[in-house]
Amino acid sequence: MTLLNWTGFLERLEHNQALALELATDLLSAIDVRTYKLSASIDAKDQKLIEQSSHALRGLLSPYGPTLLLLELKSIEESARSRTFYLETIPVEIISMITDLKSDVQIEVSALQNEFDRKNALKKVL
Amino acid sequence: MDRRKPVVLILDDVVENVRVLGSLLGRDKYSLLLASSGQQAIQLALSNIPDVLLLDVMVPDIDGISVCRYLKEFESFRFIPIIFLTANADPKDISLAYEAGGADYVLKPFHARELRVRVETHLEIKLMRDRLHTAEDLIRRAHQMALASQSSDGTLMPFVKELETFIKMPSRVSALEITNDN
Repeated sequence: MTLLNWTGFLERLEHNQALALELATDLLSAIDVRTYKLSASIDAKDQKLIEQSSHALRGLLSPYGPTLLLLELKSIEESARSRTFYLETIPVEIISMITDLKSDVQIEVSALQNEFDRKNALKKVL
Repeated sequence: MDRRKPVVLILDDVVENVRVLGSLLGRDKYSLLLASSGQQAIQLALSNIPDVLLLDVMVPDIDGISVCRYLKEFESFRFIPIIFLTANADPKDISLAYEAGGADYVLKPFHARELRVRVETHLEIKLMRDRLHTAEDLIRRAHQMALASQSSDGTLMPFVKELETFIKMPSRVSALEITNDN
């Protein structure tokens, strides 16, 4: 089952493909940094930071609709808020879901980019 | 005619979210003030009073609700619309946002059209309110001038009375007298 809801993402942007490309490209450049920040906060066992970084990662990913992943992140955020997050590292399922999502977004970005390139090439010919 | 762009202050500690908001609203339509902490939002807002504020509720240093509560203490912010951005649709949190002086809230993830319409609606309400305040000031001045130039035969008296009635009308719901006819 795919995590990415690209159709929902496009609908929220009123099918503005240029904006979708801009935002998804931004996501691809930010996702690793945000994941690292969550990982570092878990390493540091800093509950406040864990809460903030999982919240930030959830906010970053939410427009793309990965429901299961968002639920997992929310669960981390809530247990950190109640100061009961005890894991030593980010659960492997979360890392796996982030990798899958990233890969799916990358495919959509490449497709959009190709579409834009093709249109631009057509324009030049005409 | 004043053609300046409306100023929108955006508070979100996640820089990517701020960029998303800027893109969704349309950078050519608004002047954007971007803050990544509650403290920065307060400083920016006080030094350059915006037309509308979009505040993320959950911010590490000073949360959006506290920023709103603080700014609403200032007379100049009484009628500036503050819209909260939240991923949490819990009615308790939403009530808190309204009680702090918030005008509205938008749930994350944003829908471009919904966000734009809400911002535009609150900007329009603010514009109308600003015009109403200006009109009230003009009426007060007209009242004073009419009183001062009152002719001895009292021909201006009905107009003066009408102006007085308008001026005395409550301008806030809390000032309305609740009468119980039962």
